Amino acid sequence: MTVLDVIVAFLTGRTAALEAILASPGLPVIPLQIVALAGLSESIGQSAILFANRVTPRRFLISLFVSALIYVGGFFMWVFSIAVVAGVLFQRTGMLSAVAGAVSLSYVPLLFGFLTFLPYLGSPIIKGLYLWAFLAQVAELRFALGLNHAQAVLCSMGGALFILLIRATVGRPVIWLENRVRDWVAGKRLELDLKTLLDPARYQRRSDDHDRDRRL
Amino acid sequence: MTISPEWIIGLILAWLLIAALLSPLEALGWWAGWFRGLEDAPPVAEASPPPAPAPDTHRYVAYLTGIASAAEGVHLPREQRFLEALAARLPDTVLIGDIFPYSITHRALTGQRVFAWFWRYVFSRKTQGSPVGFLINLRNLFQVLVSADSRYGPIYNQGGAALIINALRRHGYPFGSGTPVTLIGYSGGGQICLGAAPYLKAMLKAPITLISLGGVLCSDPGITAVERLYHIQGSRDWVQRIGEVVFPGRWPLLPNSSWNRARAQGRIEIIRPGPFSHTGKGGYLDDETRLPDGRTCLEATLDTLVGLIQRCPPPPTRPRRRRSLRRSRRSIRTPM
Repeated sequence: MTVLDVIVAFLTGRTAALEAILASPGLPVIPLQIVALAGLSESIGQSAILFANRVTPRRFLISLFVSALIYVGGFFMWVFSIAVVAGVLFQRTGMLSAVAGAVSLSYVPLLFGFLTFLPYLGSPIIKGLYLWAFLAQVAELRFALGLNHAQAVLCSMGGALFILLIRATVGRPVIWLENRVRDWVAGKRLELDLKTLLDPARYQRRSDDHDRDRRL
Repeated sequence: MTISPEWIIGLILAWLLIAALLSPLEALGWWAGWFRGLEDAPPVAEASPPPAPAPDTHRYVAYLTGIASAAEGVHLPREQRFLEALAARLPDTVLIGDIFPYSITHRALTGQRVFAWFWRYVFSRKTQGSPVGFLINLRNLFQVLVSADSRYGPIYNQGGAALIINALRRHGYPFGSGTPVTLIGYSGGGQICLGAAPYLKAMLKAPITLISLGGVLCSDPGITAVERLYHIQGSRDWVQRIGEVVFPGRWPLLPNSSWNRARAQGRIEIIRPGPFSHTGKGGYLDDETRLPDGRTCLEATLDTLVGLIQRCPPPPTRPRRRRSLRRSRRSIRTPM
């Protein structure tokens, strides 16, 4: 089975998607392909940040690919945290590849992340995709780990909490490094808050500066 | 080989999706500086000095056309007659109608574009009344959505403000004088005006009044920059109602939205001129259909617009800089 077959199987609601991933030996190539593609798609969808920061076209393209790579790093974090929660709460140990397969399939909805780029509709679309991804993750974890609904929801939400905890504590240097890599690739310090970057008050200040310069 | 209706619908939907996805690119690319050589938005101070205004000019009115437009200064016959009649009724006013608000790089659809040949064909069909012409409306509608988007809007709207400022400069607006500017936005042009308002206000330091003629408006934070927003809505105009429905900020359920706060402050005035539709027969610009009082729809619209424009703030009697200087001197004396 190829990554395309797995995606089609997922979208048509067949369990063959997860079975194929669980059955494939060796490196989790298909899960990584899914996550990388989803990362690239979501990066394109949210590329307004790069435009707003006036990144050059060449750096723009490189930034998209680097974002996709960082996204894959986030996937490993997800797998690790859900595996920890499943092991601690429900004694599902030694099931890392099953968790990886289930979590990777929950990234399939995010393959449509490029739709975030749509004007006005983009913001609600990405929220809908995240909800779909969460529901998919619960469904796939249930199947892969033999959990009931409530247990799968707990695993998923516990994993999210675990990630938040790590990001707020020992993960801070990693986040710092991640941001520096993004800045380095973009060729400038990226302002990630569009509201701050494009605040009309900045325009007012710039206009006032021009007036002052003219008077001087 | 026959093409099934499903294929045609699929192709149309695919075109719509691709067109919608590509619609923010012009504004974003302009902002990012990817399109070198195209019209930029220089701050006024950097530009060449404007031509002297006519001595009897009391106000400046910029008209931003609706989404049926394909090029600057090229209007459909009905709209052209409307602009000529409006200009005739306001002899002391500079009426600016040569702004194409759906391209912040100020490139006509039929101008220097890769698909200019396509848009030329569509525009020629549009002038003949073909439904194919609606493709232009759709293309421009996506630009209105870009303006209304909280991510892209601040970028697009700065570009929109630059277009208006450049047009004002071309028509001899005396920058720094505080001369009021009235914006008339027809249909989607209303949203572009609204989005551009805070940037215009910052640059002009003059009162901005907005008249929305059946405008499709979102709850844009730019509403706080206008002195007053007059929203003209005909009772048969279902197009302007799209804004009420699709933009949640305009729902009464959200009292803290920019729109609802402005309404509560009395900054928005809804004008209901009668049974007008958005466009075409019985529309605001229809110069054939007559109302019960004997006026044509166009005449009634002109009466409303002229009345509103004359209610806009009068131009300052003397230069603003002197006034502010005198005020600052007074403020220095007071503590002594």
